[in-house]
Amino acid sequence: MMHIIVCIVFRNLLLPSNFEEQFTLSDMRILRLLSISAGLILGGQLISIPASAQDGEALFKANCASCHKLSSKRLVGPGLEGINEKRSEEWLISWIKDPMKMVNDGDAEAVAIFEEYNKLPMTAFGFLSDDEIKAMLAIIPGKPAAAEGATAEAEEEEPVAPMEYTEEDAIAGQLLFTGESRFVNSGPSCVTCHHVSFPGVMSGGLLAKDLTDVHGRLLDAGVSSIISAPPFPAMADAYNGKSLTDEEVLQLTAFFKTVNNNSPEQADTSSMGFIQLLGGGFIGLIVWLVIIYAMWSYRKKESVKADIFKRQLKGNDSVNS
Amino acid sequence: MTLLESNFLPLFKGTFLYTVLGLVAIAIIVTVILYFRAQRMKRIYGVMEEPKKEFAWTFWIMLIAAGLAVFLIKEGLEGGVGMLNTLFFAAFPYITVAIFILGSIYRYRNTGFKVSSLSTQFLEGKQLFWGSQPFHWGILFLFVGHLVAFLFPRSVIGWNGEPVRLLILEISSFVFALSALYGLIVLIYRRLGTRRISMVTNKMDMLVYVVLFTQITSGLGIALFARWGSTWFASTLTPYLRSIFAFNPDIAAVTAMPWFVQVHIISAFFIIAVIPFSRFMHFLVAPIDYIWRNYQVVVWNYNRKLIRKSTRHTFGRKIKNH
Repeated sequence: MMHIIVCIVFRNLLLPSNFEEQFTLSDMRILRLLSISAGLILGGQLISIPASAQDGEALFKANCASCHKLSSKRLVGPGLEGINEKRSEEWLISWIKDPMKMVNDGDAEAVAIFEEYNKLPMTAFGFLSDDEIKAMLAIIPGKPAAAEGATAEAEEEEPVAPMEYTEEDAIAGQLLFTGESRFVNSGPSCVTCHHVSFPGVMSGGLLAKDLTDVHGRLLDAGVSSIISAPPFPAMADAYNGKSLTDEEVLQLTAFFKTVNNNSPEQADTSSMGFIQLLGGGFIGLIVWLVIIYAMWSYRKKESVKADIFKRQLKGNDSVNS
Repeated sequence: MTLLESNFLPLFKGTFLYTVLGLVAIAIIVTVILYFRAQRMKRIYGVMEEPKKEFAWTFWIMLIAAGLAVFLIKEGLEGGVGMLNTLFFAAFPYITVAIFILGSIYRYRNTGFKVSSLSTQFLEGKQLFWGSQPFHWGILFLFVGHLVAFLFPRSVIGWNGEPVRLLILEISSFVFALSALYGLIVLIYRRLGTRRISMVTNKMDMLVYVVLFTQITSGLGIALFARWGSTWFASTLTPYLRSIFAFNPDIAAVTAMPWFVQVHIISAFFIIAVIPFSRFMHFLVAPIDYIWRNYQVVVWNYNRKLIRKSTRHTFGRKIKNH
């Protein structure tokens, strides 16, 4: 594609302008080339190549692993062991593509899961193709037949080791959140997309979710796994190749816990940003207008003959009213 | 069971169809009224020699059409209709750039001397000053800001690390956007309200105004309702734009954005497509060297005697040296 565009540009710039016949001919050629390349681009998007098992593993790691385990253990969402036997493939595909639509449409199983997980919605993965989802489902192991009764006990036996952090970690996490200290791999600070209501933290972005009570909903395991491998496409892009270190994840988790503990007596501060933007914006606008109007005030604003024209028009409105 | 609740006509659910039907009905009524009015005028005054140029209608109709387009894009993208995301964010950029390149070459080669934005400063200067200054300074700063966030995303993220600096950047960008919007409104008012200017106006100018209005208002919406865009632009949209330039579009992040961000992106690419066919063409021939060039003395070397004696009169044209 790039070559074609470059060719078109150079061909047109280099051709002599008086060469009329050549010009029309080359025009036709360019149009043909362009239509072919446009067709290639569109066609390439439409042809979907079936994803293989290796892709399935990579896709699962990129999209699902931060919330779901391949065993029966719960992380943020349920463990996925044996899910292929439990639900039909069509159900899984439509659930993965848009979970909230199924809940809103009143699918009984979907509503049950939604209620079970404290009405915590799952991310929609509408951008995955059916083949990709099938490839991911193929790597999920089935439920071991003998262990039917033993699973519940096994869960009780090995609880997840709680994360240990101190006050200092929470303070360091706050600095990371607001961006006052940079992430080691130079990712963007959290405050640009997320808001938390906490004293001393500016009102944060509105692009993504309010994280004030995130720790109450997701607990240590959920928060830290989402931070270390974001399942949300925009967040994944932002931290692509700039992932946080384990220490930073720990500090941020500690900070979110402090924020959540503080949240009952904390008023919502997210409207502060509106006041800052609108107030600052309109005051700034006035200052800015005064500056530019003063700076270019010497400009001639009327034509040379404006005075003569006005004199002639006095008492004669039909000319230019 | 009313028609609305039935599954018989799923399209009747929601306001969309009613919006379309209402607009069509209004358009038909307006056309009929205008037709009969024109007939009556013709009967009373006879055929007019010079068409009366009025662009207010064009402007409002285009604005409504743009609103409808935005509504459709929002509904389509949020509803996940077909491959709309791929179309708008992976294919549309290349289509627009191809149109831009081919169209510019075509316009340079065919009407090279008309490549400008057709200044109207001679016809009206006062309102132009009040509108053009804030508009152009605002939009220039915004353009440079977007360019910097595209070229040096790390520096922008670094600058925004300190909350005070982030606020300074955001508020000043907001001021530039407000200034551009204010200037644009003054300019629209000027062009629609001055009869002299309407003689050199065409329909593409109205399109330019509508597109710019969409672009600036959606940008203001982003600044307010998806705030601290200066950083997340650098961290999420810069990779997307770079993936487009690398001919390997990665649209996952853009797909997850709120609808007004998507509208902002689509209308930005639309601007690129209409550059060759509108007064946007002056981007390509901006007289940057005017900033540092010397004064020029302009002397018309008309031969007064020849002009006086000339017999080559053409209606509506000044006689020169021939």
